Amino acid sequence: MRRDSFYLFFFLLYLSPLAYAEIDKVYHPYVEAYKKELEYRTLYKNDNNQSHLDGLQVHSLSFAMSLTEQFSLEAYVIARNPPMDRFSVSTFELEAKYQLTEQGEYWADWGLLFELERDTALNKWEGGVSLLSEKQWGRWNGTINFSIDYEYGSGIQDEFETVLHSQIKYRASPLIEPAIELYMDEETRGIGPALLGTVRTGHNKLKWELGVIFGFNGRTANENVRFLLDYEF
Amino acid sequence: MNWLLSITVQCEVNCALLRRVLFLVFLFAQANNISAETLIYELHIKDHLFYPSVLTIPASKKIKLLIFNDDLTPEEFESYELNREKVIMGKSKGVIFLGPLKAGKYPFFGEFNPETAQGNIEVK
Repeated sequence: MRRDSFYLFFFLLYLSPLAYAEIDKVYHPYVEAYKKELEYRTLYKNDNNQSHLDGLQVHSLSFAMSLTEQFSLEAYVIARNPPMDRFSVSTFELEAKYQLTEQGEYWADWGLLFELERDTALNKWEGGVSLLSEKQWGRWNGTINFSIDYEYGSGIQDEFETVLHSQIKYRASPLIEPAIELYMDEETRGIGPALLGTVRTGHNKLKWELGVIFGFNGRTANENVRFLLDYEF
Repeated sequence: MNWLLSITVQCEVNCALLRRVLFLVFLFAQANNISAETLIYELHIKDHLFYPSVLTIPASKKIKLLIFNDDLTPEEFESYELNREKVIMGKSKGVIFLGPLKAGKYPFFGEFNPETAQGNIEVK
């Protein structure tokens, strides 16, 4: 236990200086085999000092299904409602998740996430790969997503980006689990509390997540409220 | 000179990435050391029931649990207390790794037949 804690702490410290992520969600390295998922996510930003972020909303709707026990695909439609602009659907994304190790088999659980995103508003393509890792200590779970993305297009400067998302949660009960989340990328620095839970509806499940992430650099909105509903069937 | 600066910066970024990849390989190597101590137990699903319904395992040991679904229909082994979910198709086998666990009782059930498929893992 003490050795595991040391490794995770060292791992977080080691990655942090490199990491520069839009506040989104933290992915777990597991594939829900033989399941389908319908998911809605939203992000609301609040910052009186940054007019381009104040009131910004991001909404996404996705459908996921597992093709094998280790492999799943998810397709997203993403809409944005910038301050003083109209609501528009401009981004489409495809994600493939591959579960590398069986849960609990090794020191930590590992997975890979590949993503391809097309933003028509910015005429931008983005491709990336994320290493997903999770470690359990009794009722505590620690998760890290480390991503390398490449974005290119006529509306942006072509570049590589590195992203770190992490979460530590306490598995108090299926209905409610408190967590702390950290988001870092080249512009974003945010940390804050989140609540997660699962409601069972017969053989199906409704998962929810609500987080308030506070920006701690000048370029991240002061408050970022994220909400997620995921229906698993 | 800008191109030289660009190559130097790119090299520094790649070297930093390489160091991080090597660190992850080190973590995988640590993981493999642990797997050598794993004990193996079996659980069967038949007529939507678990056999045995109470499985006793030792505390503080890593366990490999083989779950054989002898029914024709799929079943999902699920336990919030163990933090495990695993669908096992009919007439097939699933593998779950548990622990090391503290002493106690950890209930599990079959998600597709929760009224009948129930059991406990007792850790002593």
